[in-house]
Amino acid sequence: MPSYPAYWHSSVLNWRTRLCLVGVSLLICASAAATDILILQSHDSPPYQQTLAGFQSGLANSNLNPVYQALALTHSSETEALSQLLHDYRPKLILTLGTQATRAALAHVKNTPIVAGLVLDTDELRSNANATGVGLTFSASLQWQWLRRLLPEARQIAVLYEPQQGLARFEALQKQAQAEGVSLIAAPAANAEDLPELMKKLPSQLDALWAVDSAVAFNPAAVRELLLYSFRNRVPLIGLSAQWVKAGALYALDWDYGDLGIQSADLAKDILLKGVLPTALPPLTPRKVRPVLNLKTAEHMKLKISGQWLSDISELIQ
Amino acid sequence: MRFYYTLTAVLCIFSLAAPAKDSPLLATPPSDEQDLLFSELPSVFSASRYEQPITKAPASVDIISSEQIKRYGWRTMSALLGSLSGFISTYDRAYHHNGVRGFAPPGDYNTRILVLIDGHRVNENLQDYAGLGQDFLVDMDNIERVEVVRGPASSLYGSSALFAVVNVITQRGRDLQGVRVSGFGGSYGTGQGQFSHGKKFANGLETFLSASYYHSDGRRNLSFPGLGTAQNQDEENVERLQGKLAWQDFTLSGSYMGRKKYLPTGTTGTTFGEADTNYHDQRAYADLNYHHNFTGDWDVTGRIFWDGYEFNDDLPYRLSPTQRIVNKDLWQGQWFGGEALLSHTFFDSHRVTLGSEYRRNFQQKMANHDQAPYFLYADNSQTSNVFGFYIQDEWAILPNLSLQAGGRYDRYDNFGGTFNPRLGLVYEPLGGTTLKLLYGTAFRAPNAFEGVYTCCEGSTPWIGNSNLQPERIESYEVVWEQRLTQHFDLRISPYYNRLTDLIGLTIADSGIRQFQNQGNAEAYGVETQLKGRYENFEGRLSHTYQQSRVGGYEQAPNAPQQMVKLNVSAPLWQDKLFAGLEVQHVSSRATTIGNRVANYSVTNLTLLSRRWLPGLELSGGLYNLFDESYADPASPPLSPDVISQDGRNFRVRVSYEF
Repeated sequence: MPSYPAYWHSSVLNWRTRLCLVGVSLLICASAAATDILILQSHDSPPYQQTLAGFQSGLANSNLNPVYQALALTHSSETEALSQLLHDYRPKLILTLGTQATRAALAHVKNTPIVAGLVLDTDELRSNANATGVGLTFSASLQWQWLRRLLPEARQIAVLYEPQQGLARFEALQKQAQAEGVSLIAAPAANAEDLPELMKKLPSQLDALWAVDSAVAFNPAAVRELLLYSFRNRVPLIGLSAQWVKAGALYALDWDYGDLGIQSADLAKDILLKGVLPTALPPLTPRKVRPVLNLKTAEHMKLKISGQWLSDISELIQ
Repeated sequence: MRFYYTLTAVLCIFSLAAPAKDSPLLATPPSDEQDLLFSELPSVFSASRYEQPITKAPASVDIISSEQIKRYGWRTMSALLGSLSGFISTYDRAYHHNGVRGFAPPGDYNTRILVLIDGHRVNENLQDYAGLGQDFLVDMDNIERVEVVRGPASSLYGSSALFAVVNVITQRGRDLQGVRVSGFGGSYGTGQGQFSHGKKFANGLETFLSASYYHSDGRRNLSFPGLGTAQNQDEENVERLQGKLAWQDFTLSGSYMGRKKYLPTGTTGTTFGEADTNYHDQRAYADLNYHHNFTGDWDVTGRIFWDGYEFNDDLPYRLSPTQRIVNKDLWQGQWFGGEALLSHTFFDSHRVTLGSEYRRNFQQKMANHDQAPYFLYADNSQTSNVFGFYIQDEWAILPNLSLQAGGRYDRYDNFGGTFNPRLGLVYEPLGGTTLKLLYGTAFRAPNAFEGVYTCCEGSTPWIGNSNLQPERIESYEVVWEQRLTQHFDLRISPYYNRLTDLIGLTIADSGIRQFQNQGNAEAYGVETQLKGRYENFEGRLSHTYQQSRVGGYEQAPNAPQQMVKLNVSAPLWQDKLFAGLEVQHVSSRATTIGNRVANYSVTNLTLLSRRWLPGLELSGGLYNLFDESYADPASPPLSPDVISQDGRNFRVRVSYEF
């Protein structure tokens, strides 16, 4: 980790400014043998910080001598800054964190290898020869395994997904469900406004509502709508992150962000040290899972969670 | 008045001083939203007959959750309603009565409030009586949520929805998911045992069954000035059975309640102090409901139902010290009917609801006789029909402006037809600010007792009046709902109500008693409520100012000018021990004959303990903590003018779920 000047923590400077200052200072300090890595971030919230820290620690023990330059890409107008930066500064690799940063990089960079992190949709990476990365979506079998552990009696489950990008995920889960005689009800929602009507159509005897892969569901108003439905009808909601669980969802498979960064670093090492082409490195799924369970919600929903799985839960909300 | 102005000024200053907080688009909801979810569900069904946020509902609405019922230890629905702004709860040791917005005439069997259980009408077909005390059809333990919608709602519900609609949503199988054994004991030899079982099965079938028995010895001695002291004549026994069966889109539900209440006050025609003077009410219903949302957002609800009500009593009187005669009433009502409702959104901005309802009163019998020697005083029977049709449109004119307009036409056999509209303009000029301008009319149809009951020729004659017209109310209201901070909400509701053709009992010089449309009434007032919640803390403070005039009375009976109510609940030890404090101040009220009962302040304290052992819940309540001595105006035909209320008393409740 680079050491930052004291004013880094000052509230006077916003985080974008800080990132640019760090980038410039690192650039100045870089030695001739350094490996230049450009970091593009969509956000600066703790998950992004933890992932970046994991990435940097993953490369710290390598023979690389990484020098980082960071740029925030939260708005489309900032892609101009990216173009300028790429013109002046020629990194060996670009690490993108978040969907917006990844899309901007894919649009502007054709030759430099890209390692993407914190992205839901890894299909976009597959269609670019210079890109690979680590997605956020857990494997269908892992998601199904945890559902059966925590809700073994659920027979009718509505699955909320984004109609186009999430369809494959829904179908993968449906295969698992059919094998065990569980009925999955498709609940595709293209945008947050669809949710009220969608929920009106859900069967009254539903056993669970499962948000698996939906950009819609990341809208906080939509999450609130889902939680209200869940509580009013005593239908447990399976969320997408620990924050959902803290807000009232029954459980979620959260990520070990540091390990996501280390996974990204492994890909970067393959590219930079072994010379593997990104196209030969298919995008990865997260290898570590942090199940988060809300026992208060379980009590409200009158659910009995088997004690044998509690030791595997990373975080219990009580 | 000074207090009102001060309170309102303080609240308004608070509201202006509190800057509207920005609500940045967070990636996920803040974690403290969970406390909101556990404490209150900010949407309502009963205001428009479909689910909508409270801020969109064309009414001043309160939602009470099962958690609040536990934390404040309310023992009856009447007590629950009495905690809300604008409501007053009184007890005459026969029935619990609730009045709203300055209109609470003693003797009104809650006929001007429409009470629903899971959308099923509770008010019966002889006197429109809706029991809200121990005679309520549902145990307090079995209530999941109560929606209280103030204002006229005949445009959707027909008769009796003059001042408020109270919809009690009961527990489903999934709300229990096992067995609950509970019971309580308390002062005056009071106790109850209850067994409930609820289950949602893997195949989707949901069942809920609950049975309970309640007994209270009542007050041992009750003194009534000018009459004497009634000893051991306050006993009450109640049995209840409730069930619900849900399968896919169908829900079959039903309930039975039988209650025998001994009358320490006596009643018309009885001799004060006679043992065994009692009322016995039995009420039952069965309801089959179908609800489905068809493709294209066609929301369809259908309902068929059967209802029954029976009332009998023992009214002993003495012709001489040695000659005791028991007079008995036998009233029986049965009715069935159906209801259909269709709702759809047209052109993305018009939510249109169409509905119709039919009720066939196939039994309306009211008889009275002396037991020995037998003498028949009255034997009235009739059948009747009610048909209603309604339409309502919620027009989203702008994202922050909507107009709700609707009306219902009802046709009765006796008086013909009546149409009642409702208009509501709901405007959200700023985030967190909602203004509602409301207008509506409503009616209460003359009931069978008022229109038909003929009795007692030669003694105290009653003659039915088939020419009665319905009572009507015309209501104007403004509701201002203001989110002050993340944790506080303010609501101010000024209103004006005008009632016409009020039905009241008249006694002619000849002694003949008859109900007639005899007068008008009007009431205006302001209800102010501040609600707060923070983590496991919650509370509300309300003030009601009301002025009412009722034709035929110098002072509107049982209508306090001021009411202040405070409910605060706080955790004492983690999430295992909670305290619920309730304080109610009610200013002085007039009695039926024009006397006044003094103002009073009553404090109730409840401790709720849970999670020490899995499934075990303990609570203890001290009611009238400071032993305030107070009285309620009595209800005709009971004999005394005022009836003293209970002093300090307690209840201990245990519940175990497994």
